[in-house]
Amino acid sequence: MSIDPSGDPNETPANELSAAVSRRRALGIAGIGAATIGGLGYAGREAVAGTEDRQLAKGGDSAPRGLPVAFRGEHQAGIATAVQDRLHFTTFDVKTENRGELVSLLQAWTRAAERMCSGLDALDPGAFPRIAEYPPGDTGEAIGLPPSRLTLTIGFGPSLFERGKRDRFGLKGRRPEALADLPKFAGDTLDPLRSGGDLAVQACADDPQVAVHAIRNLARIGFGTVSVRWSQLGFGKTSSTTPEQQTPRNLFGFKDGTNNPAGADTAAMDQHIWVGAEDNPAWMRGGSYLVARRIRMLVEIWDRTSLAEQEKIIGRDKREGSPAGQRLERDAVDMAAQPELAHVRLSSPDTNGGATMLRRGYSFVDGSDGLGRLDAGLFFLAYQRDPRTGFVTVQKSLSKNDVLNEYIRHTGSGVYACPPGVVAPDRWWGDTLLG
Amino acid sequence: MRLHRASHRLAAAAAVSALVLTVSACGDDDDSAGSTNITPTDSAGGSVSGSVAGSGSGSASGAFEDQATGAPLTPEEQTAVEGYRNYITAQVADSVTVTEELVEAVKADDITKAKTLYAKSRIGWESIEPVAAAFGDLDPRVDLREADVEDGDTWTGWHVLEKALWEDKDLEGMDEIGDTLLDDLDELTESVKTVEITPTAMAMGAKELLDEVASGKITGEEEAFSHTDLVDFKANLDGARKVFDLLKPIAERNDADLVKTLETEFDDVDMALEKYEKGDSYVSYDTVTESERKALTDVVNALGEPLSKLAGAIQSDSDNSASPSSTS
Repeated sequence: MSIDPSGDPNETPANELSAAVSRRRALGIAGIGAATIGGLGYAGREAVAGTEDRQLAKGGDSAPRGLPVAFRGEHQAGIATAVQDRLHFTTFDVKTENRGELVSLLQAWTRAAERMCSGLDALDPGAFPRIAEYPPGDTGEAIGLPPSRLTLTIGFGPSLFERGKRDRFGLKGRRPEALADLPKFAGDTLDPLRSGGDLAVQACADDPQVAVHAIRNLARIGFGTVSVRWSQLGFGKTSSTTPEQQTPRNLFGFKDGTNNPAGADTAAMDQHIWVGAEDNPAWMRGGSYLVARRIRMLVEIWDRTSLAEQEKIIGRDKREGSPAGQRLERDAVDMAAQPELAHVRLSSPDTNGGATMLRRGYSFVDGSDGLGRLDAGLFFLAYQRDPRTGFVTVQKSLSKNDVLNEYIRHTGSGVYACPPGVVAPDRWWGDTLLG
Repeated sequence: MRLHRASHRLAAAAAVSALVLTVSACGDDDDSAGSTNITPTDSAGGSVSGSVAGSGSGSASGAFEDQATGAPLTPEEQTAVEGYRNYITAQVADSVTVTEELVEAVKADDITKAKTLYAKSRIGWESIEPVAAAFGDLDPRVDLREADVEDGDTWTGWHVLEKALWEDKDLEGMDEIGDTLLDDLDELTESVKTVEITPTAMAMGAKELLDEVASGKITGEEEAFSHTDLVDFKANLDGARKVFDLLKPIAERNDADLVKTLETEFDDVDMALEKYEKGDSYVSYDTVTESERKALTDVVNALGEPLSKLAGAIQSDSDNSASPSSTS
C-alpha cells in the first residue's frame, strides 16, 4: 500500500527532519555562510523548534535573509519585523456560526503558522504522507526553500464582532472602540469585493513562493470554516522599519516611508503602534490595529508630469528624498518650506495631531486593465495604536486636499484588530479574545 | 473529457499502472495529471492495446496494488464493492432508458420534448462518470464538451445534441448522433458488468466527482448551452455520497471524525442545492449569480477537502495519526 519502499512506520518524522535539513542545505546555496548557520544552530527540525533558537531568532527581528523569524513573542511578528521583500495578504469570511469551530480553526492555524515560519511543512504528516492514498498534508511548493523570514500576522475585522446589528460568536460586546468602521473619505472608489473580511492574514517573506505557500495552506486548512474573500500580492516593499537601510521607492519613483518609526525603537513603538497596558479592551494589549488600503496609481498620467510638479506634489526631492527646502533625506521636514498642499505636509504628524503609523506597504502590479494601463499601485498597510487618531485623521486631511489624489484611487479597504503575540506553547492566535 | 484519440479500447488489468486516465474536467493536455483507479478487465483476456495515459508512473494506487499482491478483499470490502456494482449498473440502465426516449424525441423532431429529457438522460451517467472514464475513449465519445474538441476530432455525444437543441434549434443530422450515443451507452452497459472495482478506486472516484463539480459545474462550463449544470451537480454529488455510504463502515474504524465531518458536509451541500430546485429539476444555471456561485463553491470546497481523505482512511494500515490533519 505504501509507496515508500522502506515501509518504515516511523518515516514521517524522518521525512520532516530531512525536509528541514534539505532547507538548511538550500541556505548554503542561498549564499549564507556556514558559520552563520552554525552560529544560529539552525540545523534541522529539533534545533529549529528549540527554545534557544527562538531566542536567537527573536533577537533578530531582523533575522538574516533566509533564516526564520520567531513566530512566538509578546507582539505578533510581521509588524516591527524588518520588512521582507514580498507580500501575500488575504482576508477571509467566516462561514461557520459555531464559535467552537472558529476556535478550532485559529488553533489549527497557529500550529500550521508556527511550523511554516520555522520552515516546516504546514501539517504533520506533510507533503509525503505515509499512506499514499491520502492527499499530501502540505502542498509542497516550499520544499527545499529556506524559511525566508516568513511572518504570518492575523487580524480581526469589524464584521467578526457584528454583522449588521447581529452579534456573532458572542463577541459584539468585546469589539474595541478603536476598531470602528472606517468613514467614507472623499474620492473613495472602494470595491466591496476588495474590502473588509472577518479575518485577515498578512504573509511576508523574502521569497514570494514562501509567502504564497503559507497563505495557500492556511486557506486549505480553513475550507469549510472560512472562505477566502479577497487577496493581494505585493512584489516590492515601499517602506522599511530599518532606518539604517536604504528607503525603498514606490511606483511613483519616490522614496516612501522615510519617517517611519523604526521597529527597534521601542519607545516610539509603545507610544504609537502597540496597544498599551492601560488601553482597552484588555484583550488587545500588546496588539495593534492594521489599516489596509489598495491604492491604485494612475502611473501613465503620473509619468507625464514634470519633475518639478512631481516634487511639488510630494514635497520631497525625487533623487535624494530630502524634504522640500532641505538637503538630505533624513533632514527634518521644514513646514515653512513645504508647498501648501504637498503630500508630506498633509500627512505629517505635525499636521495631524501627532498621528504616527508604522507603514509596511507593498507595490503591486495586477497585470493591466482593459484599457492597456497597468493595474498598479500601492497596497498600503499601516499599523497603529488607534486608527481613529492614526489613519482616519491623516486620510481625512489627505482625501480633501492632497493633489496626489489626481493620480491615485483607493479601490480596496480594511481595518483589523491584530491581537498580541502568542508566547506560551498552549497559546493561540486570538485566545485573549476567544479563549 | 479530453483523451488522446490514438488509443481505443483498453483491455486487461495487467500493466495497470499504465492505465492512468484523467477525469479532470479542466481539459488539460496532461492526461497523467488526474487519475482514476477503476480499470476495465477484459473478460476475453485480451492484451493491453495501448495507453491513454501520458505517463504510467504517476499513480500507484492502493487498488492496483491490492491486485498485484493478490490481497483479497475483506468481507466488508466485498459488500461495499458489490453494493457499488449494483449501483452503477442501475445508474447506467437509467441513463440508457431516458436516452432512448431522448433520441426518440430527436428523431421525431420534437425539440421541446427533447429538451425536457436531455438533462434527465445524463443523471445516471454523471453519477458514475469516473467509472466510465476507465473505458478507453468512451467517456469523450459520449461526454466531450465543444470547448474540448480539437481540430480534426469528430465530436459526438450528449453535448452535440445539447448544442443542436438550445443553440442551433435545428436537429439536422442529430438522428445519427443519437444512435451513436445509444450504441456507446450499450457498450458502457456491457463494460460495467466486468469492471474491476476496489474500495480505493471507489473513494478516489467519489473525490473525482467532487472535482468535476468544483471545476466544471460551478463554473457553468459543462452545460454551456442548456445551463442544466445543477442537474449534473446533483448527480455528481449523489454518486459521491453513494460511495461514502458504502465505505462508511470501513472508514469509521480508522477515522470516525472524518466520517462525521463528511456526513455534515454532504448535508450542507444538499441544503445549498435545495434553494435552486424548480419542479422536479433545477433552475437554469445562468440565473445563478456570481455571489451565489461563490456560496456554492464554499460548500463544495468544504466537502471536497475532507472527501479527499476518504481513500486514505479506508486503507488497512490507516489510523488517525496517518491522516494529514490540522486538528492533531
